[in-house]
Amino acid sequence: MNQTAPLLSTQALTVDIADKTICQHLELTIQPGESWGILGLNGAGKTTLLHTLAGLRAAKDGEILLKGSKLSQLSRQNIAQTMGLLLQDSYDPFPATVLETALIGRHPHLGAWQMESTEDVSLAKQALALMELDDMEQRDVTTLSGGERRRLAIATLLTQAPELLLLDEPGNHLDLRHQISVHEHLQKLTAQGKAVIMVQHDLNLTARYCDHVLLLSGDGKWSSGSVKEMLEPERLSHLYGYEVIMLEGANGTAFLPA
Amino acid sequence: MRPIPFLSLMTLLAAISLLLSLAVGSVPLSFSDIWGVFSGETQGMKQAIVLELRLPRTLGAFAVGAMLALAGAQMQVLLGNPLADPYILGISGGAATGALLTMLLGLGGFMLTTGALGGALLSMLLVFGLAHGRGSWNPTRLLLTGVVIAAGWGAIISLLLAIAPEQNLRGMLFWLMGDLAHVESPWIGLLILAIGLTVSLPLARNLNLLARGELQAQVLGVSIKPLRLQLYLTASLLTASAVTLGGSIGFVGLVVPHLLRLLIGSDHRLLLPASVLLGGGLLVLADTLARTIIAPQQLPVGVLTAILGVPLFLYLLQRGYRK
Repeated sequence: MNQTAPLLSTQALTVDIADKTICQHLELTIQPGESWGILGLNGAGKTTLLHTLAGLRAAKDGEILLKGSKLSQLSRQNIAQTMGLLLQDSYDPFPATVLETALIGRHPHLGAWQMESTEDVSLAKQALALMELDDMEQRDVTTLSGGERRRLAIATLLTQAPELLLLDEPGNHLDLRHQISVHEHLQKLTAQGKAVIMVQHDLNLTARYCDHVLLLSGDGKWSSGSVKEMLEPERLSHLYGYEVIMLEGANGTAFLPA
Repeated sequence: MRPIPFLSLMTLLAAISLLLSLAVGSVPLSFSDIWGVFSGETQGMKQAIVLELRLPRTLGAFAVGAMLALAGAQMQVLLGNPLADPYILGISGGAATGALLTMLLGLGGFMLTTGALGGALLSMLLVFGLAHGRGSWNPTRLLLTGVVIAAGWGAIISLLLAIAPEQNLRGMLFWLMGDLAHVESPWIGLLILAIGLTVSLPLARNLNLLARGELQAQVLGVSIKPLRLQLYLTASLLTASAVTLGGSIGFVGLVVPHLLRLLIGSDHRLLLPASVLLGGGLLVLADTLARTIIAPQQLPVGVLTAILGVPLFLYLLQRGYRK
C-alpha cells in the first residue's frame, strides 16, 4: 500500500444489486482527517455501497483503491488492518463475555498462534471505557440491551483501531447522550488523521459531524461535495421526496421536516 | 475459569475415566494391577485382560467421543447454530445405510467398516456437491441440503430394517444405537483425532469470529470460503471416522460442546481441546457403564450417553449461562 495515496478512492465505480443500479461511475476520494456522511432514502443502497467499499461484495464495474492498492487484490487480513466496518446489526448466537467480544477486534493484527497481549487487552478495555461498558466486562453479550450491544460493536471497531472507519448508522439504538459521545469520539479520531465514512439518517448529526456528504438518489445518480454544499433544503427535499426546512440559530443550523 | 487450570481439570477427569474403564469389568482389577501391567511387572491373565481386551476398547471409546465432540463444536460454528450436532448433515445416516447393507448381505468385520466409511463419505460428497450448486454456498443452504439428505437416509434405513431377516435385526439395531464392542484397533481413530485437532487449533480464533456471523468475520480479516471448506471437511471426516468405529452414538457431539459453552464460553482456543478431553472422557465412562450395569449382558453405549447426557444438560440449561 502507498502511504501518499488517498486512504480510499473509487474510479468509475458502478454498484448494483438485483438489477437495480445503486451508483453509476462513482468517483470518491477520501483523505485522512475527513468525515463523510452517506444519505439517501431507505433502499437507496447505502449499506450495499458501504459493503462494496469494504470489499464484502463485488462491484459491477470500476475500481476501489485502498491507499492506492486495488482492494480486490488485498487479502482480507490486509484490508482489516487498515479498514474497519460497523455492521448495521450484530449477531451473537453463542455465549461470550463483553470483553471477549471487544477483543476480537484485535484479530487482524495477530498471527495464527499468537495470543492477545496485555496491550491488546488494555486497548479493548479503553474502548469499552469510552463506550461506558467498562463495568460490564464479564457480562454475557446475550444479556445486553440493544443500545449496549450497539456500543459494544462500536467498541470492537475502536479496538480494531483501523485508519479508515466505515459505520452503518452509528447512532442506531443509541440514546441522545451516547449518540453525541460516539460522534464526538469519531471527530477526535479524524482530528488524529483517521477517516470516517458513515451512513446517516439524522441530518442534524450529519451537519454537525461530517465535513463531506454523498447523496444517493436511488436510481444510480449521486452527488457529493462539502457538507455546506450538499445539506441544502432544496436538495434534501428532492432527495427525500418530502419538504425539509433549515432553521439557523445562534447555536447552529437545524433541519426539520416541514 | 482460566484456560490452563480448566484444561488440567479436564485432563484429570479424562485420565480418571480411562483408569476406571481399565479397572472395571467381569474381572475387577486394582489400580496397582494396572500400574503393574504397564510397568511390565504383572503378567498372565491380568495383562491379557488389560492390553488385549480393555485397552483397545477404552482407547477406541475415547477417540470416538473426542472426535464427535470436536466435530460437533465445529459444525455448530459452521452452521451458526449452537444446537447443531455432527449428524445433522446426514453423515451418520450414510454410514448407517452402508453398514446395514453389509450386514444384510451377511458380511461383517472389515466389510462392515468399509461399508460404513463408504456410506459416510458418499453422504459427505453428496451434501457438499448439492449445497454447492451454482457457486453460492451458505450455511442455510448447506443445512437444508444436509437435513433433506439425512431424511433420505432415514427412509432407506427404515426400509432395510423392515426387510431384514429376524436374526440380523438385533445386530442392526445395536449398530444404529451406537456400540463399541466391535472396536478392534483404536489407533487409526486416535491418529485421525490427532490430525483433526492439529489442523483445527490454528483456526480456533477464526472460529470465534465466524461464530459472530460471516460478515463480521470477513470484516475482521477472515477469508470465509477456505475456512468454511476446511471446517466442513474436518468436521465431516472426524464424524465419518467416529461412526465407522462406533456406530451412530448420539448426544456426545451435541451435548459436550454445548455444555462447555455454558461453562466456559465460546473461545474456541479453549473450547476445542476441552471438547476433545470431555467428549473422550464422557464416552469412556458411558461405555464402562454400558458393559457393566447388567453384566454379562451389554447395553448399546448410545443409550447410556443419552441417559447420562440428558439430565446433565438440562441441569446446566436451568442454571443458565455463566455470569
